[in-house]
Amino acid sequence: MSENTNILEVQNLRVHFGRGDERVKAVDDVSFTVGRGETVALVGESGSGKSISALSITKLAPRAARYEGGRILFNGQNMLDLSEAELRSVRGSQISYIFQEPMVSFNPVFTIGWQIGEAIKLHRKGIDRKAETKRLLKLVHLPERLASAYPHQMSGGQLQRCMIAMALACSPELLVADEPTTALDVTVQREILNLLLELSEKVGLSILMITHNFGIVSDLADRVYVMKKGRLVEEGTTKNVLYNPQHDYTKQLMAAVPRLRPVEQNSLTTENTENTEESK
Amino acid sequence: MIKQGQSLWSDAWRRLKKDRIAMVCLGLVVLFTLLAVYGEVVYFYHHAKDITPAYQKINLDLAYQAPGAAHWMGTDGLGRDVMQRLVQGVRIAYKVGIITSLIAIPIGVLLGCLAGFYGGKVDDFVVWLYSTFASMPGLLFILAIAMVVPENGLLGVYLGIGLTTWVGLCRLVRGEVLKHKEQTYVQAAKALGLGSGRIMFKHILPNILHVIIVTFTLRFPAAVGTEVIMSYLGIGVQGEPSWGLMIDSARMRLWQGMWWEMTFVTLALFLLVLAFNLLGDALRDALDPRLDD
Repeated sequence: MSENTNILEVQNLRVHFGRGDERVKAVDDVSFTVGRGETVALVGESGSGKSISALSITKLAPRAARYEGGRILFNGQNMLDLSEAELRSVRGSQISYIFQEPMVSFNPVFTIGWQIGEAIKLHRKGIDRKAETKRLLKLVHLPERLASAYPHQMSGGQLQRCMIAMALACSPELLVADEPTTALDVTVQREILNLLLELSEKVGLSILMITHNFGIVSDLADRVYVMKKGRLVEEGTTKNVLYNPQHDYTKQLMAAVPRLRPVEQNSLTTENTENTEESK
Repeated sequence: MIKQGQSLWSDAWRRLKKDRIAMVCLGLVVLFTLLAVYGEVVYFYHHAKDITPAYQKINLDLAYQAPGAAHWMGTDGLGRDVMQRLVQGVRIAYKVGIITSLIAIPIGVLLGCLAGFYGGKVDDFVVWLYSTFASMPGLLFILAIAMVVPENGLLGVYLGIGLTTWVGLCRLVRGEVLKHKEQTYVQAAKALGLGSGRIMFKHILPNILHVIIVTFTLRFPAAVGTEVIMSYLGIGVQGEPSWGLMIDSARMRLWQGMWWEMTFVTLALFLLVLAFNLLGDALRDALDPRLDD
């Protein structure tokens, strides 16, 4: 990874809610970078400001949020300066999102194929949508026939794959994954993570992973930022942070995670695979 | 196993088919619709050729005939066939129901969507607007509009009913949009780069379509009822056999023992309102995807 090719540079970002005494500093002076082709994890507990940071990248934070300072440079362009129309042309085409709950991230009255087609239609005019949808479903290892299925007919894992297919529809440069596996059971988590890993290598995707789970971090991320109450408390390469955490909070977070891969024996993994349900 | 080609509509139809009462009501609605179309054809035929249609022909020799073989529903005080006038009444009732819906539903849906989606000042304005409309006694407001419209007659009825009955739908749509815009699928659509208009009308609206359809089936007979009242009060339809006028004239002849005109007209009105209301209830259940069996 060469040094000066950061695709995303967030510098001293401040995102606040409310005014006066009720002011909440959801993101307070946070800086991080994502290099080209790199996978970076933003780790923290609920309410630490990690999701707001991620949403702020394309100004998708709730309307009440105010951007009080800092810069968000995506390919050198400050996203906070862009108009709503310019932001819309970046969303989905250059920066894509995957959300936490695949079961509710799809419109219940449309087929999966239609919804993937929406993204294609918007950013890539004049492309055979049906063929492209099929290609995308194949990319995430789903059968083509699922294009005509409705969200309620699919399992959480399948839907998250579709979500990834949708996010990749316009070959974005950066994928922001906001807790992509939290709502899924353990074996499916593993599949989704493997898929993300595979895709990031195959299509040269940069990934910003939002999570509270250090298990995911160790598998996937090149570098880690740890957030607490809107501030960054620790950063470094995954190896350094995992083996030599400096901050107490980081240690607490790591201790809070049931290990997916026990260091010495592999008894835990077998236990976990027993009570998982096959996807529909 | 995933069922192929299943859509919102075919699902709703499958569920509706199981409901016997709903199917009877649907049959009634179809029957009324056919009668309305037939009435319109008859009306246009006579209008184009400039002849007085049978239902307008006064023939005092035939007056006050009880239902019989020649006149199944009898004749009125001027010797006109009640059944033919009743069919013409269906035509006018349908026109009122459909045209007022075409005025009221777009207003209600549009304002409700905008208010719910954008919130803030837009919402304040829309809420203020429909509160103002709702605070006025409905019928008085309709009468006022109908009287202001220069051309007395159906236009006044359309505008009067159309411009006053969007409030309920607007409120419903606003509430539904408020609920839906917080859902993740809307967030996901935004993250895809879709614009507000497309999210509102292409993504949220189909999710609340059942509310709109049900509102239509409920407000249709209500509009017909209002037209009857207006015509009865003398500011609605003039010179054409609307049900309101028929009830009004039949009322005066009841004491002469002429029961048939009043009976058949009220029966028709009753059946129309009942069929639409029951069908509306059944549709609400059939169209709500969360009630899937």
